[in-house]
Amino acid sequence: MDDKALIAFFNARNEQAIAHTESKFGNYLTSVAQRILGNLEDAKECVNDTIFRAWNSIPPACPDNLKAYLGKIVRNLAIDRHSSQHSLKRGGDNTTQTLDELAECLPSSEASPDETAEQSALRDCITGYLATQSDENRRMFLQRYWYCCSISDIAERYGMKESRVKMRLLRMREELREWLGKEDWNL
Amino acid sequence: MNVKSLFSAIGDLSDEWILDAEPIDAEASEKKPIIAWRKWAVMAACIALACGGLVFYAAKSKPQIKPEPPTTTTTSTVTSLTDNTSVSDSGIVTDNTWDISSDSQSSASSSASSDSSASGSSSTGTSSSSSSASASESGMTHTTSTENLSGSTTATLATTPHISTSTTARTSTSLTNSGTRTTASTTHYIPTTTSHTTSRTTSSSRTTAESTYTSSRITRTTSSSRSTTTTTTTRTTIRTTTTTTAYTSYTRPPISSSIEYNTTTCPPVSSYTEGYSNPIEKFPSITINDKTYWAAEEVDESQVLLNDSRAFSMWVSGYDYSIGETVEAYVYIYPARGVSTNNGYAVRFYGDSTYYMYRG
Repeated sequence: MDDKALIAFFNARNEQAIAHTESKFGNYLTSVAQRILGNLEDAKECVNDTIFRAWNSIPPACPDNLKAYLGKIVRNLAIDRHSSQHSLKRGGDNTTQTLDELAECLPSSEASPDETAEQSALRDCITGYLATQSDENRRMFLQRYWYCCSISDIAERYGMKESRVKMRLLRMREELREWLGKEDWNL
Repeated sequence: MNVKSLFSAIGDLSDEWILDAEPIDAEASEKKPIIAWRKWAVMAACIALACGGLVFYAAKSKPQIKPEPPTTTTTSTVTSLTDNTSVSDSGIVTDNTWDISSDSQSSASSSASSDSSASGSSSTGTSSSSSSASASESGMTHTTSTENLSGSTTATLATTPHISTSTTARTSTSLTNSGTRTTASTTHYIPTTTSHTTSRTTSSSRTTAESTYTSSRITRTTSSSRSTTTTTTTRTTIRTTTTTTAYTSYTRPPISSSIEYNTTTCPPVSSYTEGYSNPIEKFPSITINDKTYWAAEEVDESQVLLNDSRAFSMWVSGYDYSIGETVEAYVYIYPARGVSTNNGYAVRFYGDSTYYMYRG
């Protein structure tokens, strides 16, 4: 069943959409959530929440790519669950490390007054930066900061040493920091 | 802006990039390296299978005669055939003699004496040919005698062992022409007989010579004297098949000549033999125009039509040099081993002459 048929089920409020979505994207969503949460049971709960949220959001939402749409939902839910379970910067897990690393990219630690509008602008800025990178660097960046893959996984996947992956990600973070600085994101 | 907003902003990146960067689990994507020896083992197994198949196919397609247990068969066949033979003054008559011997005690002297009654009483003439006798231990002897009817007679003897069985089969023909006629005694290869009596009578003055062979000896006696130019001969053949005995192996005798295929009408087959009792009899025979022909090569076992798993029926035709006719008949063949050609299905028959039979 393709995405259009699934979305049609969602629009028709057909409960088969839930079963089909879980059978088609369950593994993917679970893997994304498990990388963030590090727990399979929490990940499955997160996936259920994701499907429930998709059931509530479609319609009116009509995503072009249902898989990416669900992935973003499960990622956000997993982050929220992770935040509620762990105090930020106190854990030694993978997500905490990821967030710590991303903190290096912030020109300043001051919070923006309008985060919603800021979020969109920041996304465009990051998109602009990643567009300047090679495909391999971009994939590596997203695997680390979107999928929360560990350094060792990335190194194994690309046949590199972990130190090389770390170095490459470090340079990308520094470049992103400069990029964000140029865009006045420290204001 | 804080870390979480940055993390969330990254989460809103392009769908295409996100899916493009989707990590595939290492466990799922990991391809186990192919162990080298397994690859070679698989290749060796395939080669072995292919070679085995070829060997099996070659062994299966190779025609073989497997000896069957000896059986006892009693068959009595009386046939008569008329032969018109033209002999010129300076002609040369060639007799092909097939003898089968199973008795190691056979000897030239004994065979000569056995035929002396037939030839001695009949041969009167100006010249007398030599007589030849051959014997081989447990084998078949082919004796070829060439007689010059003008008087000087030579005889050549070629001995070729073809069979090492104890089954004897022979046909003997004794021709006597009183006064000035050639007398020829030939022994023919007949697969199924052990004793045989033949008498031949000429249209003019004649003497009947009769020879009876009991078994296990090869005998040939030829005496000739001539003065006639053309002789019409009527032959009467009495063939009696008695008992087949043990054997060890068999080799088909060579074909003397070959005749091309021809399709004209011919008298029907008067009889045929199935040929099951021993390896020689595995060659079937048919009788056309009172002449009996034996299959020199068997037929393709896949070409079966009758109830018998090896049997089939067909129209056969061919030109018989001995009678100067083209014969065609519907025969039943009980094959022993297969022979097939691109031109169809060929069955080779021979008796006094050779047939090439084709399936109609």
